[in-house]
Amino acid sequence: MSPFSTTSDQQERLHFLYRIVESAAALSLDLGYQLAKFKVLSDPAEAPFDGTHMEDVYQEHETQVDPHTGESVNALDGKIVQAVVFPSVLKWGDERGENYEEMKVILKAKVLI
Amino acid sequence: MAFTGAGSEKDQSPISELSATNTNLMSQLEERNAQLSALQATLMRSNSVPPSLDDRSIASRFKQLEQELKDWVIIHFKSTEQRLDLSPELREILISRIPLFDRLLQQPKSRTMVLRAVAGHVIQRAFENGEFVGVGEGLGALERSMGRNGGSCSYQFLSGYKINKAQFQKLSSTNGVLKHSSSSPRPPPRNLKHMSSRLSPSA
Repeated sequence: MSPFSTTSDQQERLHFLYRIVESAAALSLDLGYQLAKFKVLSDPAEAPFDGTHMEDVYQEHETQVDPHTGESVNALDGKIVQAVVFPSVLKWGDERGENYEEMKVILKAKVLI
Repeated sequence: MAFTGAGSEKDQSPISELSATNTNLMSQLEERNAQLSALQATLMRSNSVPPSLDDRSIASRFKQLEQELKDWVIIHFKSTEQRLDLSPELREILISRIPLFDRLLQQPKSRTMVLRAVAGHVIQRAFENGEFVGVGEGLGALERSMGRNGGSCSYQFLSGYKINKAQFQKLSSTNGVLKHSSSSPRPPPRNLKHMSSRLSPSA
């Protein structure tokens, strides 16, 4: 048997995976060309839920803005995150290469509570 | 018809001239080809710099990446009949990232989430370390030590990306350890690593 022999299912899995890695690599390169600075981040295990950069993966609890305080509020705030299913994407700076002191959440992390 | 010796000498002269001309033309052709290649390379470099991306399109591409990972996990690992054979590396990821993984893996709904979390973690580490663009852990660590708010980005010094073989192997080994139960034949993980390196264009 060749050491490279795999079942068709495994080959399909690898082929699918290869496409994913390829698109992630292209995205990584495109981010590198931007003047703004991007980070793909995951909170550590068992971090408390924070609606400013996390969202429930089941989308059962949405983050809303408190009309009185103007702050983001989520019923899950403070609860322990069991798993970060997909990381958050954060951005510092802008397309002119300025304002690096400002951080913006481009995509919230999907977490399992 | 017979050819005389003098005639042969006469005939050889134009052949020699043609041969010399041909050599000269071939040389010119090679030179033009080299110039053309250089011009094409310049054009490709100038076109390879992507335009500034807006936040929405970046978010959209990450969402697409998330969806692809989700599809990959659901299509290939959804079946609860599949027995999870955890490699030491995967177990280490699970312990550090999902302390309650044992319990979560037993529930069909959260089981998929655990697998998605592992794939998401590997992808996140690859972005963080710049491994997709060939920036190794050392430079990634240097960049991190310079602070998150630094204006310069090491990726900008790179003119092209190369899929990191080690990273692909890591993801593939994640793929490899999630196998069917012993009723179906399964190759050792090394086989999958060899397979992935064969698939990788950088191999």
